[in-house]
Amino acid sequence: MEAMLDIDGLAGLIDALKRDGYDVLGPTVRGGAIVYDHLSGIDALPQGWRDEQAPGHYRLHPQPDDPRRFDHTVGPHGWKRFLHPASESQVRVTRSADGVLRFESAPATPAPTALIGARACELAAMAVQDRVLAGAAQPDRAFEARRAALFIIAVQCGRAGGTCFCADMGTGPRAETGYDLALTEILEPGGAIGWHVESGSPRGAAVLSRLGVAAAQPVDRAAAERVWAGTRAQLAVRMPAAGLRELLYRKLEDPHWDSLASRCLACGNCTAVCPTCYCTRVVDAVALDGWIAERTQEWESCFNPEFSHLPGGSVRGGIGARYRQWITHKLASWHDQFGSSGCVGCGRCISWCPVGIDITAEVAALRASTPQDVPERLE
Amino acid sequence: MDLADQLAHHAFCADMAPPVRERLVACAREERFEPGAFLLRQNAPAATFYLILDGQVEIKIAGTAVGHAPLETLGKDDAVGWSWFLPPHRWHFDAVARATTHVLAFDADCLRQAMQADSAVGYAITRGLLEVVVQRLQAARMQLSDLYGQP
Amino acid sequence: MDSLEQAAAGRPGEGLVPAPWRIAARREEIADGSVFTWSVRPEAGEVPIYRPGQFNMLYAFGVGEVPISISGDGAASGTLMHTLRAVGRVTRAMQNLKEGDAIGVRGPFGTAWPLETARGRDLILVAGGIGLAPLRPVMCHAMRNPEAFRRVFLLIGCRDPQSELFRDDVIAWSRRPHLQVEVTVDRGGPAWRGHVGVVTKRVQRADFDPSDAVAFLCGPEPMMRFAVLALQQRGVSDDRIFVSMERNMQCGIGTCGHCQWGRYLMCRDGPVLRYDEIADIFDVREL
Repeated sequence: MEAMLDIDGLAGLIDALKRDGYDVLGPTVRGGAIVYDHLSGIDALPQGWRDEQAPGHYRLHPQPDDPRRFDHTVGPHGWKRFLHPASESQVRVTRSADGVLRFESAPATPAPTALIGARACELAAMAVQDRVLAGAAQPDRAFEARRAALFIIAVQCGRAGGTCFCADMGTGPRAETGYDLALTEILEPGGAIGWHVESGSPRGAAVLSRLGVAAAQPVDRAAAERVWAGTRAQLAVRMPAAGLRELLYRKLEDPHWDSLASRCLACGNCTAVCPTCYCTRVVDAVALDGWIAERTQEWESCFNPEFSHLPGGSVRGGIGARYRQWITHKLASWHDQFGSSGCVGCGRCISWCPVGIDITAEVAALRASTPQDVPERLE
Repeated sequence: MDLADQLAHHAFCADMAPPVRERLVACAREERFEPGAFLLRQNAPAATFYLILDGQVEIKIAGTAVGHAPLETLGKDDAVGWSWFLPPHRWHFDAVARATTHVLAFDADCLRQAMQADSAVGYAITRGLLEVVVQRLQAARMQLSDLYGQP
Repeated sequence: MDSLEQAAAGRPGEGLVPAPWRIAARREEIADGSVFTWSVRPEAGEVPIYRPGQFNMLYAFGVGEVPISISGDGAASGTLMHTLRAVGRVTRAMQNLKEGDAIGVRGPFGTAWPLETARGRDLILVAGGIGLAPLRPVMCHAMRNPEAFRRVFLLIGCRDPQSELFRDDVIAWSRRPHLQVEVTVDRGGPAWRGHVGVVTKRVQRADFDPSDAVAFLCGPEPMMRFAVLALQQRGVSDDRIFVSMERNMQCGIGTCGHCQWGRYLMCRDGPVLRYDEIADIFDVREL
């Protein structure tokens, strides 16, 4: 089912979801960046803001006269902050007077949540985390429950960001699955703004039909297709996926890792902004009365030396080894562990690296360091 | 088993050609050490090479703080003593039997003459000794690294 | 908490939620108390079925969890055995727990020693230090089932006679004709009558049939590297050598990421791995 929304139609969609009991989350401007947060209504959307991204670089530029609400690309937030929170109570332990321990896990009854503005790469990232967290033999029930409570309104990117490489990762730029509704923002040459909307689920179609908005005409579909093609044509950053896994496995002891050790600060920014990074640790705390202990799950970064702690010391003491772990996990061992790549090509790790380390450039450097006499079977 | 059979079955001689073993047999005799008896004594002339047939021998260093603690124990299929091979032909450590120990003992003069007279014999014994030395060195390095110690 | 919420969030003992257990007995393995063995019992229900080589996550109230291999079971008394070395924050706290104290347990997790592969063959167990703990259930199995393996060679390396683990067991095992036990220490004392030297020497000297033998290795990684070399030199093929690797297991269910070793999640794909499947990464530094 396809339809066209004008500004009232878009506002109506958000209102309808709120009336249905959804907590609506979407992009908004805060602290000089476009972040994801609870939306009060359509006015909270980042109208007239455009981001500029490059390695180690993210700037927002105001375009006050531009009526578009989604003319940005991805910012520092991923949806994982809602689906797989940075801190979450895992187990509450109560000690009774007779010394018996009682273990209770936090109730998992998430509120119905609607996401507006999820991009193709972000839907792919959710699918990646589904395989890791929900696909485990003993799944993360809290994640599963939050995932099941989602209504997803995707936005088809109208622009490629300066660090985007979704096409090479096979995740975008056009979202084709994993959403209830997908919007394409269309700015007419005359300045009129509208949203082509396509349903991706019976639920999405039902919401759309209740809005009573105009069905999309072939001309609307054609305009949307021009947006999709235009975005694809803009993608400039490249990281061809073929042979990546084999390349990284072959390079485990390449001297190039020393070069990374001298540049990487091991700050963990890349892991915090990565929409698929899922690693967690558990932190223990006891209430002062000594009868209640809490086990809290927190995001953890493989760039922390403690990440690979063993009684004899950290396995990956060097920063080069930690960067190798991160990139090799993302592009190679993820396939072996979870059946897909762990990279969706969103480019966040490039933009938010304080020293501008670019995963695509590192891969290119590793490829280039292949000795001439080794048969190249990558492409 | 006669000397030739015992020699043929010892790990030190496992890869040696029969003619080489025959030359070794010519230098060999059987000996027996009771517990506490010295096979080698530090700084004494190194005139004998031993191949252990059974029993247990400990290698010790005299006059150190570790005192009586053995550096290594040796048993069946091990060789004892290589100082006879190079000048100054004196033992560097003690080797003491901890149990009744049967050995093949080789006269060092006889061995050296055989090695000089026939390069095939010389090579085979040198190679065997090198293997022994390498294993002892590797073992010493591993012991030194304290693999099982508290990190 | 109602039953619906429990179903959604996981029951005790499932996923990340420990089940309440209790320390039924405690004994010191080493005189200074730095290594100790617990017999632990669930507050309710049966002891879970485990396979030798697997591990549990043990929880100390308010302090944290550690992965500890299962070192045996008291089948009749409904307990599991865990042998711990007090070496980190959590295990040091556990060192102070007493008989009757409550703990949490999750598990068992991970892969097991392939007893079926070793059936009817010579079985070589190479144990270094605390690495004897996960091999102990294999010895218990061999004691109960004398016909399971042709001959068993337990080759133990440890630092000194004082740090020898399971001394009573080692004596009992040594008395069985089909079990050959060799203990070697790095530093002997005047009273020590056993071997002084490295455990790889015992691999070189043990009287097994390399063409029909299976080896299980557990100990410090350098020890396992040398033991693999010695086994290869004897002619044991790589697909008959199994190693138990230690990594930072935290969740036990493959979702926290800490225990990665190359393509493996060691809590899920390990700790026991076949050597020919890891030979390409076994010597990669800081992996």
